[in-house]
Amino acid sequence: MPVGLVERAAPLATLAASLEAVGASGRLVLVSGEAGAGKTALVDAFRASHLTAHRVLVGRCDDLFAPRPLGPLLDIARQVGGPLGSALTAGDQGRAFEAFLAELCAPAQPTVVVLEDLQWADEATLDLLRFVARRLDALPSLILATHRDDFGPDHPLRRTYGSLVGPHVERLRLAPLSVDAVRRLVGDGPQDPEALHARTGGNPFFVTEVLGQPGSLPDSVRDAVLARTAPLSGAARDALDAAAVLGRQVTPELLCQVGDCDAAAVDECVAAGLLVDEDGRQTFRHDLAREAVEQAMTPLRRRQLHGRALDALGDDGDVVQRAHHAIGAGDRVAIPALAAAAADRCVALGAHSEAATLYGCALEHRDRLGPAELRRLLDARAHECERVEQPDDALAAALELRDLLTEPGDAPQLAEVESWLGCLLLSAGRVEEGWSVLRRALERLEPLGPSEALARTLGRLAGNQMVTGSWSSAVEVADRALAVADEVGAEPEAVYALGIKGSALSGAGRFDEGVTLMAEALERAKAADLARDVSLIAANLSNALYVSGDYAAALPLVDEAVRVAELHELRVRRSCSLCERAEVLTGLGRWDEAMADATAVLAQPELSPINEGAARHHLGRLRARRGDPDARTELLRSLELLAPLEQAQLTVPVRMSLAEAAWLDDDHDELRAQVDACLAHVHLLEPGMAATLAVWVRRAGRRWPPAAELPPPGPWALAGDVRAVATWWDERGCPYLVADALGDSDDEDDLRAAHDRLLALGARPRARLVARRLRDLGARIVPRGPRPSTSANAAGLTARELEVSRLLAEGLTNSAIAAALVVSAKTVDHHVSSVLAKLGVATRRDVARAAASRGIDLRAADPQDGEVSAAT
Amino acid sequence: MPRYLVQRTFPDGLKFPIDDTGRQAVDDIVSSNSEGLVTWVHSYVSDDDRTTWCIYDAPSPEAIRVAAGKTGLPVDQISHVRVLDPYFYRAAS
Repeated sequence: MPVGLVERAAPLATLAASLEAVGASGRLVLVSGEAGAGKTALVDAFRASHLTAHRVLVGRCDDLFAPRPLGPLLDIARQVGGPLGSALTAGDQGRAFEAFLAELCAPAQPTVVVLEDLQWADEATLDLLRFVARRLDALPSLILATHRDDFGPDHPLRRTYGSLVGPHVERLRLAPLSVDAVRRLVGDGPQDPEALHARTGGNPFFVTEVLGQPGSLPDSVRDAVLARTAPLSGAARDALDAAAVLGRQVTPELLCQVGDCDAAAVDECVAAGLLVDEDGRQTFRHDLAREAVEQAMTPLRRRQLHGRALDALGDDGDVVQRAHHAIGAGDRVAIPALAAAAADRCVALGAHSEAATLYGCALEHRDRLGPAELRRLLDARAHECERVEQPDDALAAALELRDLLTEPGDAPQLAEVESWLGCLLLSAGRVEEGWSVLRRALERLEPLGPSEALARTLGRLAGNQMVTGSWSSAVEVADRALAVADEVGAEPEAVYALGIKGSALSGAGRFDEGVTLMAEALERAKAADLARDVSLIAANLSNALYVSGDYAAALPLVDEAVRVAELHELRVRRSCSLCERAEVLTGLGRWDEAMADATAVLAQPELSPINEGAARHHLGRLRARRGDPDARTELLRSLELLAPLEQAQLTVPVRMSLAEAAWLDDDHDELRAQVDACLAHVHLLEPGMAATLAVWVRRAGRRWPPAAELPPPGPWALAGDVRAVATWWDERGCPYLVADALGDSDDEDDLRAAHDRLLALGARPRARLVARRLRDLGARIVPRGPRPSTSANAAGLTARELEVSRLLAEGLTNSAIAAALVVSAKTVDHHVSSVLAKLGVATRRDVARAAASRGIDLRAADPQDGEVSAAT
Repeated sequence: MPRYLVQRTFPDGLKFPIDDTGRQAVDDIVSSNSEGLVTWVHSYVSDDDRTTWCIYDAPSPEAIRVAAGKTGLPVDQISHVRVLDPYFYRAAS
């Protein structure tokens, strides 16, 4: 048995079960493991044993400086041709995705797609994966995707990984080999299995390499790989070096040309087991070997080979690959034009992160760019960086561009650039400069008469006034933007201004008018296919609704905002919408989901201050309510990020959370300080936000400013009518705010109800305050109801383990359970062990009794959704 | 990586049999935790098996909550902690 397949029976069975499960709906299996864990070997073995009659499409990602956009799809197009190939040639991402779907739907026998090495995937390929994953319920295909699992926390794959969830997605992690497995592989060999296991960490590839070495044990795997190259002829080593630089699937002709060697040299590498032949193209047998060979070269040698690769590819070669070699060769002459062309291609195919990087490479050689091209690239770089949420780089490029526009003839472009630059400066916290640049743009545009640029600039001005609470001027400027947009017939500008006007009206207390306008703007944005505006307006409408207390109506809108932003890879909008959704979910008491959204935002490598600040606010508030550590640290960090933006609507909610966290910690000085800071801005607040503030004003013992408007439940909160406040929030489905209000009651039953609800939510700090109030009233506390963490089920069984328990209680054998749940017998073994351990019983016969004694009703366990009811 | 002390309550007692079943249950927890970069260092268990105090290395309290959700373990209280041992001053001097 090949090394890669020792101890791989269970993963193979899982793959087989997934293949079996493909019917009307499909399956995505993510196979992960460290480099050398045998991911490819597993997939190859699966193909040989199960897929001989299937159509298998294979696409690979490459370890390039900037990966080819949709590289794996190009591989697949080479196999199938047709509409997919032509869509890719045309650089039409949407059409390519549709053509790929059509390929998967077409044949009678399910198609199996293998996507290898996703850790090197470009952004467009990750989009494709999400696109396919979302459609698996109606896609009769098996998708096998392999990736290394040692990627860092800010790797693009990590973001995608989190969104690949659901009933059709399975994760398969290949564990290192055990000592026993290594012992079997060593057999009668001279090596000591335990030492070999320790040195290789049980990595199958490392074990093979070391076992392939006669004699002494090499110190490192790199040495093991390089030792294999030692007996090669000089020409073969040249071929190998060339292959290391060229990457995967290289034709022998190219290899010979770049390596300056003959075909015999390539054959020698194949015979030595370093390269493998795949359909007439050469690839390293393992990428770790390629890395070892590449790293062993001197930098000069590597640059020379990249240079030869660039020459050999010629003018017709793939432009992204040519850019990769130009950069690798440090070719100052070739880089600017090639990197720019490669970036343009990445933009067309939706690989925006790669485009931003490549524009940056081209701009590193700006002395070789003509003035017009320099401006074009700065503009493109600024927009791509803004799109993928690299705010500092976007601002730097936009500032540089502005400073280049000095000639009188540049005036129209200068006004456009300043209009946008003003917004970038405002969101970077350079507020004064931002306002002045934005107003200067307006001064340049107004004398020129109505234009799209004028409508856009007025809309931006209104938008920025709206977020600072200047409601009436925002409405007025938005009206001017609307008039100009209508005059020149600019629908996108009109839609944007209409949405801003709606938000501003709602903020000014004209809620119904505002919501009506926003709904109209949303419809028009959808009709005109304006993805960014759809996401923005849906999020703003959701915001207006929840600030007025209507969390339930806000949820579907903010879901849509997130979905559209994800579909169109609008990263800033996605972060912003996720933050809004975290707020809605927190209000609805769905804290785990809120935490997941906020965490997903913070997993981004770079963030604009507004999104990072908002995400930290939501995490900090959840920590405070759950009694988790570092809540106030997180909230103070949020305030630090948001304060420079000078928007009371952003800072007041954070200060209210700081007041709440302080109050829960019995820190009343801090409570009063934060409430006073909020009261200083009370005239800028939306009415709904003011109503939320009222409760903290009362708790801090402060007076409400007489002139300030206050809708419900604010007046009740100020008057201490806690039942009215609780009823208000109960009608709106906000469980924490209900219990929080009741917790201020003087009635023992109210307090007991509050205490139970708070424990059920996992809100221990607030429950502690309520318990103290009960004690102060002379009542004895008798804990009632389920404990929070055990309410779902007392033994802490996972949803899957509950299903298994239910089947165990019915007396099914492990193999019958495996069949019922469509998983391997090995998986069932694990679940059964875990169930027995958690229930603390020795045999399966005792499961039903032990479950019943913990109040877990196995009859109620529903295998469809894993919902569990527990007797209390 | 920050260190946390996690207190958990098992109303009916926690039982890890000293055999393959127990080993498997522990391995499952370790493997599930590792997806979120969460490391379970060790735990102290009360005599009545109802309370555990578990030492974790994790990037954030949220990572601990997500891991607990996956493994189905209850969470009462998460505290951010540092190590102080009686030999600290001896080592420093």
